[in-house]
Amino acid sequence: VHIDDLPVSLKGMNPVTYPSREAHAARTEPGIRRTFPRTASVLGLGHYLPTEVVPNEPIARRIGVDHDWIVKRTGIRSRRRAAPDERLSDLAMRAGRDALADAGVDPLDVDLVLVATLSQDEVTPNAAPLVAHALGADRAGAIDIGAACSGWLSGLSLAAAQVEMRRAERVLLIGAEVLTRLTDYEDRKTAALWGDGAGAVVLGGDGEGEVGPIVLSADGGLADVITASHEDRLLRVEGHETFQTAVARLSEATEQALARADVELDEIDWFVYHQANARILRAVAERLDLPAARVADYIGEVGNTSAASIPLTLGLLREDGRLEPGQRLLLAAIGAGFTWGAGIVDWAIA
Amino acid sequence: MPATTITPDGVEKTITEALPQFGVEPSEISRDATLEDLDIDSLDVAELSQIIEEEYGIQLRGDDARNIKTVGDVIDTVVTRAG
Repeated sequence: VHIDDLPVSLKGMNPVTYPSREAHAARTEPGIRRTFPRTASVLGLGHYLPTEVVPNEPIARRIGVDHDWIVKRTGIRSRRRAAPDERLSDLAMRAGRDALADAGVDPLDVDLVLVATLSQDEVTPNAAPLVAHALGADRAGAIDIGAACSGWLSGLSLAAAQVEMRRAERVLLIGAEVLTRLTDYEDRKTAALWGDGAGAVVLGGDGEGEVGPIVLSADGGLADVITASHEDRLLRVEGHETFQTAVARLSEATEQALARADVELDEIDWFVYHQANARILRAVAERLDLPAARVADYIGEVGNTSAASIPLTLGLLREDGRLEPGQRLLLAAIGAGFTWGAGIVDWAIA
Repeated sequence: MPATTITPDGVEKTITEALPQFGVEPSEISRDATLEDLDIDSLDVAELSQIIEEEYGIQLRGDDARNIKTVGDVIDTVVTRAG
């Protein structure tokens, strides 16, 4: 097959068309609440951050700017970096172990280990089997999920479905990244963006709370906007397209998830968006008129951790005593592909 | 759905009024001022594009944004697009 015959080439894509407000409205249909044999809920939560804190200064010096320049453009003050001998699977394993302990679930009772990542250690094997082995989850199937920054949210939909349909009793869903290994430290636009970290939840069918509707979408027509090739393994981002697409699609997905769950915006206690860039989050909050106090904001301390971002943010919210049983969460993410989505989770664990 | 009729003066006024939101001193704004000198980066241009879209129904694309160097370029691009 010649490259020109393939339906999608990363070079010379069709002109980008940004989603308009009309298209957005047309896509936001009142949802149908589906019913399943049972409800999936979150039984445990865990996260892991590498110990090394990288402040802005060394990165700023290299790209000829200062700390405030980076903060103004990204909202990021520092990020974590994995130690040279720390593997992606190590970060994932630590977050997973934390979540299993939190849930009080024996690793041998786990049916499925899912790891959402774009920075697995090798092309193959995938991270999930290594993580399952390291945890002693010897009975579990193990699969990596690739949907860039939307990977963990995509995994939440798949994991919840496994539980809802009784194909699994216990699913460990991890998001983990070592993005500092894919960072171009000469690129002003992205050198300060990326961070390392991991977060995880355990899902089961016998807990309190509920993983509600999750809407997922994709547009491969925008595949060349955020990329990292096999050749140079460095993340590249077209800022203008990313910003416009992210703001439009995160806003759209938020409204779709609310409609499908038949929930009003003011019934949401926490809006937990993928921590992409403080300016994207601010623009989404402005467009949807979200109260700032209910929009989770941890990007300043951890940067953009892609697939790890949402579970890591949940972990940090709980660590700060701000995530409590009985709260209703809206989770949403967008990333390379583009892939994006949003979902509603009724939180029930302390 | 252009909400507002597009004239060069009108677009200039919209952009001049919007730029201070991005930390630009009003006294520094002129057609010849470069976005770099005003410390306006690509995400600022993307945000500015949304203001323009809401006002005029015109979308500035990434290729437009990359070719824009001055405040005058922004105005001309919007006016040309309205063509």
